[in-house]
Amino acid sequence: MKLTFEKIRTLSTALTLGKEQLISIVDNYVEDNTNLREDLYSEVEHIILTIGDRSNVDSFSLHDDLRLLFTDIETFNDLSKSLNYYMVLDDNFGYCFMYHCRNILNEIDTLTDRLNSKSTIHNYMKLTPKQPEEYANISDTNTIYNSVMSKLSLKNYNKYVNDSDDGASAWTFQVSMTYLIIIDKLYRIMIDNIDNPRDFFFRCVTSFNPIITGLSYTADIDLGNVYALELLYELYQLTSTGSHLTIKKNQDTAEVQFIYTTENGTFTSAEYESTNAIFRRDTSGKRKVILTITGTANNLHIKVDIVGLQAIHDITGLACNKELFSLNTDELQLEAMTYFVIGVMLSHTVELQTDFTKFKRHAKKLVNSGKYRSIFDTPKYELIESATCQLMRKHVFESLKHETQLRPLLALQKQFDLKRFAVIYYRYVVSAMTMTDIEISEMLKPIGSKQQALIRRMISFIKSFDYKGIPALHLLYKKVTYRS
Amino acid sequence: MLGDLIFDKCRLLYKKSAVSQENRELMKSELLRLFPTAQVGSKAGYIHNTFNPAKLVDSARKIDYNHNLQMPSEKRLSSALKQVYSEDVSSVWASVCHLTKNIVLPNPVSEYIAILSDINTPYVISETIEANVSTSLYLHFDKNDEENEETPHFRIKFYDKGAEYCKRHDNPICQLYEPLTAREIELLGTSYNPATHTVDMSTVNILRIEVELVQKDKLTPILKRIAGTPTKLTLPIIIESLDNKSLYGILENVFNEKLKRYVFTATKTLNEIAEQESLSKMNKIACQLQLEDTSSKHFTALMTELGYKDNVATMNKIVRKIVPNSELYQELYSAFFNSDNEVITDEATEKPTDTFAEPVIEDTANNSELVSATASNSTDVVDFIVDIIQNLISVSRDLYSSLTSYTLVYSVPILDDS
Repeated sequence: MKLTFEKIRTLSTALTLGKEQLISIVDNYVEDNTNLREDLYSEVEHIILTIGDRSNVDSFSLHDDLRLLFTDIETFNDLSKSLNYYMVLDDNFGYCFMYHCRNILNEIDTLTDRLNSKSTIHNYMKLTPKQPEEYANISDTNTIYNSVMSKLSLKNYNKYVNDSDDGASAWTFQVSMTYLIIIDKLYRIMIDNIDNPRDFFFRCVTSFNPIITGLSYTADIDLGNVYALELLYELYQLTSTGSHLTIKKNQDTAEVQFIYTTENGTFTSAEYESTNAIFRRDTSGKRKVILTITGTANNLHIKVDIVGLQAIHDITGLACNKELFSLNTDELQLEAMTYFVIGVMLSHTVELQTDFTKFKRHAKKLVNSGKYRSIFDTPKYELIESATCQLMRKHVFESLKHETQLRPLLALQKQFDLKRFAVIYYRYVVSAMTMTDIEISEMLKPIGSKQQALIRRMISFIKSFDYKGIPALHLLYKKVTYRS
Repeated sequence: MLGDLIFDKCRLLYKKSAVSQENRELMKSELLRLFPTAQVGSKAGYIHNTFNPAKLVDSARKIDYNHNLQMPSEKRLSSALKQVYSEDVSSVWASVCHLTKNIVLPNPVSEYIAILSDINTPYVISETIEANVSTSLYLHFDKNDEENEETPHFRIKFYDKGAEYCKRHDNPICQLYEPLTAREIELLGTSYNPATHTVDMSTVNILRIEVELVQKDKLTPILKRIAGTPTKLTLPIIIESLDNKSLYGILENVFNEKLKRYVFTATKTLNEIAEQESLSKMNKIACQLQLEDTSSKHFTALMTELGYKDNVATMNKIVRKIVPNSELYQELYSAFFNSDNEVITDEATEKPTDTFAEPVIEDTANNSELVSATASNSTDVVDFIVDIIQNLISVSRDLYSSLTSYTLVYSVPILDDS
């Protein structure tokens, strides 16, 4: 099986900025004045509370003091150089954060009558205060929002901005715009306490650390000589080992969806012991990883949705790290993530678990009998693990029923030119594939002799194949585990 | 009985500004007292109370309603709602209704789910859900659900209630509080203990069907039947129909209608369809093969892959109208639409909810049985005598009305003849 990634693109990214980071900027400037500090805290609270207002993005206008940082060439170059180290948005662009911000400001300036225009920003970018669920109640006077979430939909962005489909510019827009809006709002409440806007801007950009808490991307994969239908046919047979994994099978739309909720732990392979979660765990089942697989002909279409910091950490190991900011254009990283997600999802199926138990027992026997050994002084448990892994890659998922009708039917389609009523003839042929000769004769008895003869010829053609099918999921598993 | 329609989930909404803080707190505490599993939340200026009417606490009988297998009477539900929303009843309306039925079947539930998932459903997409080594079937619209996966506007669910009950509760023994039908007792077999009126859920085949209706447009069929054409299904309308004892019947009709529209669409035999659609012998057999094929959806996928998407869709459109010959399908159909409603009463003291309630003479028989059941349990002699008198009055009224209705029915042909 070939497994070539044709196209990967991010669909949406959720970026969360904690209130504490805004508070720390306030603390830096008004450390000594307690009264003023309390006032500014409540102002920060108000910023977060009202951040969802669409006018924040639609009629955004940067304060003149901050705008000077972009119009004054000397300050701009100076800031660009200093910020280049802290804010790497996209290596492929070759531009730093300041350039992106300037582009956005220019873009916004050219949008006249923004509020009435169809291309208003809130159509593709939204800022929302994040509120813990426990505060939503009838006696709800509690407004403790602890972060701001920025979300951008690539589909809408491309639609309104008439941009190419790569997602990189959308991502840089999202990060830069989020920074600009928050910094501008913070500047306006602290303006009396700020002597140097350049320092304030620099301090904000370097100390703010918005984190990616959700990500959704799609990947088109060329399967080489394997048909998507063959793979889906085997995926339909999988069952989940527990309530943490739900498998949705939709044969009408040829789609299989794996939903893994990280409710009581981490997103890790069932073959290894799960570790303790370091980030906030979920009780409502909202933090999850969703893998959707669909496809036609030899192309597989995959969509991955990752919600929650723990899942991001388990998949990338880079949660809370600004390195993730280049993720949208880092195809290799996205590929590796896809392999990991597929591997973990498959590991939580009853079918793989059954094979795993079987092969582990067999591996133990091999190691104990000395048939599987190493020239190095490898501990016994490691030898067993390695032998199990080898056996798995050789045989896993082979007990599943393979698809056996598609390839013979494709050959039949080439051999017999049936334009009208082709489906009717194929219906007879497919049913006959599992029938005895007597049953076939019985089935064909009521129809005309000419049609009978044609169907008989088709049946004998298809039966001559004696096709056993290919283990499509086994091949996918092998590729996935080798590459992840 | 188990096969009754259950009003499984109800969400009532009201504007936060329309009700004072004090009353909101009162409503909440009363709601949680009567429906301990209720959830109270707030969103966009509205307070939503989500509760399960089937889990209404019965303090008089001291029963712990920790399951939603049976339904309290309309009278009890009505008084509970009046208790909760005593002050601001008019400002409350319903936004979510989940209608449910539990069907006791002779074979394992997974077999019926397999049959149902193979049906070519019109309008909706059928999705098989695998979780915790049990299979469920969800039917839903495609477009509306994309955005709102958690609470789609319309969904029909089929799943194994026995397995779900055992997973949710530590103890598989379920205490029933409403009577069962003779057929249900027969199907439950040794799982049912008549002495304690309990069912061992780990050994039963109970198929659970849930029809989830969310938002105004999906609740319109209920609203139309109850009150003509008001814009909202408000609480006064619900309470009034509960007082009239018509709500459960209406909900059952809506439930059956949805199932017939989206699941049990087949109405004719193969020969009837062949005649109606003027199918040739060749096409007729092909339709039969497609109908009998347990992997007909895979055949559809194959044909789509081969480039015959429209042709196979046309074929499926015809096949959809044909009633499958399968025994399991027939069993399911009769369990839904031709159920035997004769109730066997034992220790139950309440009247079973008469959802169809048309055959007056049958009701009379039930009432007389219930009188005897009440007599055996009642401790208050005066109440008992009052009950008997009331029942006798209602029986005589029913008999009178049945006689008059019979006269009316038969008077028409007599007049025609003359």
